[in-house]
Amino acid sequence: MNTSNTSLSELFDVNCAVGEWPFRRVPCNTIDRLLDRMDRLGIRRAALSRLENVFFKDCLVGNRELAALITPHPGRFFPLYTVNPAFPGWDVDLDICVDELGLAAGRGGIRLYPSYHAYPLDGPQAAALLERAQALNVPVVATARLEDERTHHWLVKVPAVPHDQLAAAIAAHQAVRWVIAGLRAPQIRVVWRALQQQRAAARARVLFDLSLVQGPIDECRLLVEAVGAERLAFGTNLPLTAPESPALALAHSDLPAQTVAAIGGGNAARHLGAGGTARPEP
Amino acid sequence: MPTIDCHVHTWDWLGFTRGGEGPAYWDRCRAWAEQLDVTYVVSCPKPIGRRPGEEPDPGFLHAANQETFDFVRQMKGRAIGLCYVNPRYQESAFAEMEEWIGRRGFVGLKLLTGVHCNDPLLDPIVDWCAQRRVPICQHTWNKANGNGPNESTPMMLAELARRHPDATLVMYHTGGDFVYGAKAARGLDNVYCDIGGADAVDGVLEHLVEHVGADHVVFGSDLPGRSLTSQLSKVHGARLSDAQKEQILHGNMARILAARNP
Repeated sequence: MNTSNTSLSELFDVNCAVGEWPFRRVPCNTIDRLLDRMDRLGIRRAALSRLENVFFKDCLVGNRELAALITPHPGRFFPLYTVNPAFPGWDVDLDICVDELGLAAGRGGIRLYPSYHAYPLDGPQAAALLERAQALNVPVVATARLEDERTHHWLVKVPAVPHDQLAAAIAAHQAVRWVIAGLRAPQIRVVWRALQQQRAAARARVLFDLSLVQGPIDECRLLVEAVGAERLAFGTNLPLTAPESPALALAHSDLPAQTVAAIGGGNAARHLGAGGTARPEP
Repeated sequence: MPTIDCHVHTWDWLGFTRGGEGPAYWDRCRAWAEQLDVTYVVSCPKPIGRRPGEEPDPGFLHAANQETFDFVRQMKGRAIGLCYVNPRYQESAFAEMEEWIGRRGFVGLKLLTGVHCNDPLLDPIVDWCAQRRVPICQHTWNKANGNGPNESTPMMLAELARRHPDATLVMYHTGGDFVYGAKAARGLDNVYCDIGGADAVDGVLEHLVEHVGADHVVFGSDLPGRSLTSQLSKVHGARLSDAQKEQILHGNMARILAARNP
């Protein structure tokens, strides 16, 4: 079993982070280890956030670290700056991301962890941030889940972002370029159906990542039938989840090569506005 | 690399294949087995026509085992069966084991949530299997949001394993959390840790191997709820040697099955 499908030669990971996790050691905790893993799997680019920002109160600290980490590796990473719209001064911190770290259209996006940061994605705080994202013309990666809730730490049980919140936020901010990260296959269908019922599906600019689509059998093919190949994107949830899972799922999906290439990287590059192809460093 | 998948179910429990239960799902199982060179060790936790969560009474269990038998036949050499019993119904359990393991070629026992697996009701059943060196595959989880009724934990299985050192026990799911399950299984030579079900969490298989050894880890997928690719990625992505991966994917389960004397 391998991932040597030629359609997978230019993978773009829309759901990636680097850093430490409070509950266990993760193998790809550094940028060098992450790059090594990416190169072995043929992941040319990754939309990257700072994992510590899931738990940091001041996300600007992690965002500055992220900018420093990716600077030596031009073309490999598309930075996702974490913003917590429920925390004081998020708007000023976002200005700093723009003015000092270079966040702009085609040069980065915003990462949201609504459950971990304890705000509703369809509430007024998130709405204010989403309006800024739209004005900046930068994509928003909303994290629905990071880990299986059944395996959470006994003191840190964080529910997934509810389907209705996801659908409501996407429907209310249709000009925003969304990536919804960490949904299971049945949940993608539920959100999609909700968007259809709200007559927002056709206009919604949304990609669903495959990182936690880890079943059932034929998951990729069935999702393509349900939501369309143009709505799906390769994502790994690194460093928490094995990136081989979505890579193998795509490689053995029996989908046409063109479809695999679109899900593997083409959709992400177009949707994030991160055109161009990066090569592994020598 | 040939693979023995020790944890597969006959039922399409959410209608994933659109064929619902039965042949449409089974056809897809066979296609995947051929494509990826996999042999399934299969059980039926809910026969066609019965409701999920229904009490597995003797009629339910016999229908389940008949369905497993039918599935095995349909797989044409790509599947072998496990006999499902509920220790709460002792007479039924022994009748099912005698029929399906003793006479009709099933290779082991499947236990789910009839009773907690450290319940003394299991003792005569485990003795029967130990005498024949037939493996017992016991569902285990340790859920942060609480286990279901009679859902066993890895620590309960460890208690059973200490009580029956001659029995071969496969800890299905390894508690769903390898960091937890590894500590429960450590040092128990008669316990094998199944890696099926749950997400492909990066780095935790290495943790499990470090605690119990690669010779005590077996590959399972938990089809159909999980895909073969996601579960195989746990092994293919792990920082283990090729020899260790072969043990997990094939060698250990082959050794367990070869030791049987039914």
